[in-house]
Amino acid sequence: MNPRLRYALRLAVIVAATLFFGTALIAPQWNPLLAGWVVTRPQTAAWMAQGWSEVNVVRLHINDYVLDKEEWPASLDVLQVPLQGQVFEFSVAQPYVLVATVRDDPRVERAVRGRRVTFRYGQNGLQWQCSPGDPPLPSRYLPMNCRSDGDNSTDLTRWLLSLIVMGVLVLLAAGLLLVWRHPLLAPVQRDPARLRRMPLHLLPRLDAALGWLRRRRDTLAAAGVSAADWKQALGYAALPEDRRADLLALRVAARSSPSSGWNLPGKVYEWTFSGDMPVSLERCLLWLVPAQADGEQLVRHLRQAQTGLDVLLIAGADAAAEPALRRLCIDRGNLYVCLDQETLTGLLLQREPLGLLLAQLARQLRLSRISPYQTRGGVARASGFFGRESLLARVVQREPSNYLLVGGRQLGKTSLMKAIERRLRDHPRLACIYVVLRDHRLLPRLAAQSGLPLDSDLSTIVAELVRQQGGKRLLLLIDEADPFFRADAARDYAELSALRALSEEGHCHFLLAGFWDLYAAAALDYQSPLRNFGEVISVGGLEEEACRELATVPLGVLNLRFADPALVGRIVEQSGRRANLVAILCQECLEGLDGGGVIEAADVEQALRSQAVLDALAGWGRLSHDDLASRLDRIAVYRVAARGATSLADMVELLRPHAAIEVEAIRRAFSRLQLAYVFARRAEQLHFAVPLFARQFEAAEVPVLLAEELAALGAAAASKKP
Amino acid sequence: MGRNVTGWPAAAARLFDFADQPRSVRAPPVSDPAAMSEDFADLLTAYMRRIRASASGVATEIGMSREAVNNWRHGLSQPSRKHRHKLVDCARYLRLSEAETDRLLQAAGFEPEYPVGGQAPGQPYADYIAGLFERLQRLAPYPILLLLSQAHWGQPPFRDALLASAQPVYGAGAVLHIRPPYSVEADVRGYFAAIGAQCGFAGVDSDFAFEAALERRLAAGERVFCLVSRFEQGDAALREALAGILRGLSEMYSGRLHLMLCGGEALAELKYQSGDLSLLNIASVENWPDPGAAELRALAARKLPPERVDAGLLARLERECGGHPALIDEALSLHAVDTVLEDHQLTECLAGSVRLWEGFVPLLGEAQARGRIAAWLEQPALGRAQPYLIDRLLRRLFWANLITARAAPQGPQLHWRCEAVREAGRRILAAWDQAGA
Repeated sequence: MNPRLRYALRLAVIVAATLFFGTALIAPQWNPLLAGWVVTRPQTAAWMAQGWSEVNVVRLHINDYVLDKEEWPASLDVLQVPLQGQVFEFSVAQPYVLVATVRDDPRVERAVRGRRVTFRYGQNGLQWQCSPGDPPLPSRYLPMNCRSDGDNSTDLTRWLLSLIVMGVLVLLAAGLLLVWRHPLLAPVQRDPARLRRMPLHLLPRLDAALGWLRRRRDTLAAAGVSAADWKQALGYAALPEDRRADLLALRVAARSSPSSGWNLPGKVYEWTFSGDMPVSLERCLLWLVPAQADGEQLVRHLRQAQTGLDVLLIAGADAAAEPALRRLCIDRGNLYVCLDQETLTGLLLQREPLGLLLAQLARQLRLSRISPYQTRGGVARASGFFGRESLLARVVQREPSNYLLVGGRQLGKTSLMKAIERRLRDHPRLACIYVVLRDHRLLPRLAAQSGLPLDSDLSTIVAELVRQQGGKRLLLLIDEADPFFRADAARDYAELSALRALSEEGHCHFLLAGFWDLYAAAALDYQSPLRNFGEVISVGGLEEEACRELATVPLGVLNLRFADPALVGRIVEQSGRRANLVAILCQECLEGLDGGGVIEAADVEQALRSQAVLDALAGWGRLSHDDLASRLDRIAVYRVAARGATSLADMVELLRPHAAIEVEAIRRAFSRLQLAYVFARRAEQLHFAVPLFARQFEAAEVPVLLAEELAALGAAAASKKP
Repeated sequence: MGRNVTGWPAAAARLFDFADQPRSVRAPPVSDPAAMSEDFADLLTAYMRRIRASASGVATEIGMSREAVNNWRHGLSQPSRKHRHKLVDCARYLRLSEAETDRLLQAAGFEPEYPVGGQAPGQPYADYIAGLFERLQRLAPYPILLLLSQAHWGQPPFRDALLASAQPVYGAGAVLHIRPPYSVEADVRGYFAAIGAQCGFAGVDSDFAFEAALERRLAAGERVFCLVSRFEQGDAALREALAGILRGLSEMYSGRLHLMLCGGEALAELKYQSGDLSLLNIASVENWPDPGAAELRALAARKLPPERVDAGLLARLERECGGHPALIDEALSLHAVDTVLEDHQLTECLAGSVRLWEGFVPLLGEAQARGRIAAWLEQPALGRAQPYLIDRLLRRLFWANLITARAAPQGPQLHWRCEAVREAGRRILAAWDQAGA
């Protein structure tokens, strides 16, 4: 609206309101509401006075007629009086009832025109009974003896009464305005959830207002805020700094400890987040700035301070200081995050305050700094682990037994073991212990884990571990077991036999994870004691639905999403349902996104071409410690890169001119490459398990690489000939 | 083709005996004692005494005779030009830092191995180094970074700057620097005793003792940064044990042990080829970048007066040296003595750099390799760059710092570093053919 027009309208409303209330107080007869309703109009009252004279004349004539004739006149015409006066018209409704109707005269106010008064002739005397007609004349214009409801009020009493009513109405209106237009109360009353977004320093005033209106309990309930949290938030500002930091940390499942040596006003704390933090942020700093500090001064302090590489949360600034800090923090290039007054309220009142903190981090930091995807290593937090339910059930929901977990590198063996450990953490009779082997020495490793001398024997170690676990049966999860198997195979599986004997006694069971050495011994070597050691569990690609969850759920943590579900499908398809590739591709999408928002098709295509993907796909060139086996692997891979698929017959034909290779060696190479998730078998042919795998090769280089490997194979075979 | 004791092709060894052997423009005459700023024999003796190395031990490690090493120590002879690489091996065995290595080489009259990158902190690459730590923070829950550098860069370059930058981030006491002993004859006790001493752990006499000492600090809630220089050197089994310890502790104390493993070609092979060390499987890779304009300016300012360091010079260094640290050093030395050097003259001089010859010669033993390199030398680009080059010959050229990955619209592509490298390659191939003929 035009500001001038708006101003004029406002002025007009003020003038009208002033006139309205002024006349109501001082000259009610000029008040459009009171005049004619609460107080009589002087003109009408004077006019009506003349009318009553007309009534009296007619009644006098009727009196005379009845006294004379002793009967009610058959018609008023016999009275010889004008039946149409200046004010009233007279008629007879029935014998002994005279009706006076106010004429439709413009000099009389409209509310009175056509109204009637009835006069009933008393047959026992000359008494007339007056009453309002139909439609009735307003009571205020009737003589006292005509008012049917005993109303004997005067203009003065009606005016006073109306003033009281108006006063009450004005008070009620003001109260309503207070609720509906109050800057604190109104938003909360309209949308109680906004209580959790009010600036923290306003909460005491809001609390007082809600208390005064007796709306506190209902509003808190509607906002989903517990009374205890509300009380804590109200008292937050009065707490000492250490307790403020502790309280905030507690809300987001972090541990807070004072951090010294900072050249910043106020206090700095170091927060360490729990292992369930769904993004890659394990610690950060919290700076509680002093109250009433100037915003620009705080910014200068920040620019001067060496805050290192930790994310710095800035909290406690006054509302006046916040804009300067916000301007600094909105730059995603730095590691500062401003927790303004509204955010502090949210952290103290929301049921999921960590989500709010993550939203602020996502808004003020580069997304790659707080990625929710874990692209390398075993996934330790439950929120980052998806799928594998059937594999988990095989271990967790059965009686303890021995297992051999086999699969290629970075396929998720460690993540699965950690998931098993989490699921069995509170088992009443079974204790789970995760051990990473760092070389072939299993017993010294277990001895070190149990705090025993390194030369302790297996039974002593297990007895000590059982004692430490309160007598529970043990399930030892042993990761990186390949070096152990290689070394133990050279000793005729002496230690493995001991493990097996121990597990048969029922005190301890083992889950051993490894790759080719473990698989070859368990599945391909018919003489190996591993064949009956335990159940073999192969880890391969993730279930499709789990892949989709892995791609989308972590994004939701940062309020991000894919533009089209088909993009998720493309990622899942191109990654060959390999979990670490799905995570890497999503991470690359995030890197491209950095401004926040939605992941588009171009982001996904960029991620598919990224160096990070190529980096993750490398590492298949030497899957075995046997040089010949590794060379066969490479030849098979180059063959598939050149032709799209291979088979046993194809490989035999390819190798025959160069060297006499046993078919069994080729079959083992295929098994190895399938276990490593390089190959997958489809329709009797071996293809790349991960479509992206083919992107490693350039068409021109594949024949050269293949020829080089074949030549080297031939040379090696020739050198072995006597 | 025959091989000498160091495993170099015999033809390659003969190259260095040519009468018209190409020499670096900076290469001073070996026989000129005035060029030696320090006495080579005294320096070698001091360095050997420091780790109590015997002449026979040094000789075994570098593939020389004990008499030859003794002659060096007693000042009876100097390493010949063709044995420069043996002196580099000797420096590794003696666990010399980059600066000490260069000091020993210069005392013997050779060019430094690490002409840039061994300087004091606060120098070039400060922003990049700060970014490295920022990236390390993002690698939760396993902050493990492989920092790979090509030939003539230290492992890592600017080590002092790296360590100095780590101190404000982690605290001075939480920065550990591990330099795995070089000798392949070291036993477990000696290996971990040396590493324990480097970390300030008392009484370390086994791998388990080292692990326990490091674990105590992590279990106390401390965040520890550990820089491992030249990770790949030394005995494979001991390296595997060290990697296993670091992997286990990283797993157990998620996020508290921040690791930066530095190395070059061998470390890349360990990660991408064998896959045995899961520590490397879960590590993120970072390649040491080529110097940009700011780095070139800082490097130039060390050798030239400020008025000569202008945009023209920087563009010329970038164009003619292609980011090769040794060539940059040589080019700056040339500019220091010759103010009117033309581009073609600079290329001509750089093509004679001994560092380029040392890079090419080990790759030319096989005829097929020579043929492929000869073909590549005529191509402007050598194909698509990848984090790990599948072609073994390309890989070796890359780690010898003769080729590099450069951005292109279709993704990073491999290029010869500069025209001087191509020219050097052509000359060496021609010389090889001549020698073979």
